[in-house]
Amino acid sequence: MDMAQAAQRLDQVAGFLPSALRRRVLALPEERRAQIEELRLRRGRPLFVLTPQGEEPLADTQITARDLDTVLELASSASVHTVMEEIRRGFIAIPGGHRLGLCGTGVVEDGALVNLRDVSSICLRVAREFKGISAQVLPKLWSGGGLESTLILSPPGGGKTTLLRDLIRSISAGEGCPPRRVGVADERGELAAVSAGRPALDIGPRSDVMHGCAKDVGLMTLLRGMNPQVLAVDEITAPEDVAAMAQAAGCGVSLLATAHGGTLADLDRRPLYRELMAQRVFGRLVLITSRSGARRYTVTDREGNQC
Amino acid sequence: MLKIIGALCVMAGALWCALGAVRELARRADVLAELAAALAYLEEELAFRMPPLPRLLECLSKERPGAAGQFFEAVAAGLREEPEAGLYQSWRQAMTRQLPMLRPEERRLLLEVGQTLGRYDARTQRQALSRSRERLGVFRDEARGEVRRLGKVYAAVSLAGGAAIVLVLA
Repeated sequence: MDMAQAAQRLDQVAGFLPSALRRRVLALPEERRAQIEELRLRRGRPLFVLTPQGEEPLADTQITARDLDTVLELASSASVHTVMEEIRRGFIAIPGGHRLGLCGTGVVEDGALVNLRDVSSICLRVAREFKGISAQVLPKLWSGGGLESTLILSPPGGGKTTLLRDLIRSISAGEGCPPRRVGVADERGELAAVSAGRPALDIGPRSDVMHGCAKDVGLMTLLRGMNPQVLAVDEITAPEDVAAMAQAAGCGVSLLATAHGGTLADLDRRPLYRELMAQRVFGRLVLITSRSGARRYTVTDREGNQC
Repeated sequence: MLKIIGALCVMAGALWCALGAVRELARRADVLAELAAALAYLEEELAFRMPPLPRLLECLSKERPGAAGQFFEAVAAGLREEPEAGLYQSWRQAMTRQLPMLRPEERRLLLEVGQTLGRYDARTQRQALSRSRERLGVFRDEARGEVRRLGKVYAAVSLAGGAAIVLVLA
């Protein structure tokens, strides 16, 4: 992604800020705007921007309760009830594939979050497109002429979705590999950012997107109806997702998925992923680490041997 | 002959003034009824289809006649033109412009529901709508009672006033 495009994607996200804060962000030099990964708003604090160098406050900014309410109102089109389910699941997907995460006082009933009042912080994460980053990983995912099912691992904000999107694009376009039909189960619209039936983000010419439905439902629909050679899904979080992936793997389809975790040992510690690994669904693991703002990809087989 | 025509004109004028005052009262009752029906529609939609509020407001502006329809049209337009100002701000401004006939307690009630709309989950919004709709229903019934009661009083007073003027002039 060139600098102008990266800055443009941040500008999209800045569109959800109140005008005074928006002007402040848009006044930053293009080079700086292109680096921003997240905008963080905390009540009573300055607006912080997250870049690969760390989190820095923007001078002369002070976030008020009204600012936070305005962001939520703009992101939900003045209709919080339409995004309540997304809030319950952690974040709101906003147009362009960006994310809005929020904190506040939860109203809980029967153990479930039913409402959120007095919003205290908002994190706007910019969806970034880095075309070509999968080139260093992709050759290592092939074995015996076939694409190995691959799980991408990193801590939150590590770049899993960005790498997965570029893998989908490369495989679908046949860039550095034979082209494949890729079915994308994009529950929250982060991978393809489909709007009016067209993906706003580049996911390649041979990709079919199932958008807006639960991942397990999306995977099964793609499997039954679209004859995919590869199935891609972002963030496995529920036992239903694991069951759907295991079923798809049994049908001879290669899988691409992401999960939160810093090391292979993290997978073992979480029952959901332990089960997935025990079923030997994935043949390759990609670990993303970050040092001084630069991302490093390590590809291993399921035993942890580097490829 | 001229005196009779003059007296009839004075009486007709007095009656016309009384009818105007009654019409104003009846208009307020009608607007309250329209608003109560609109809130019932919002409540129902939020229970089943749960569409975004801007779309609901557009529907209301097209489907509802009279001042209530104009009110929802103004809210939707405010939201469309200045989304950053927020739904409540548009709601408040539209109330000032489109519903001047409402009394302070009726305005307070509508402002309260405006503060809830779009900001909470559907159930909380429905509860606020339901409460406001019921209160609006009470205000509407009171307004209709006033129309009946004061309508007669206005008619009697204006006719008596007209007759007094005719007698003085005669």
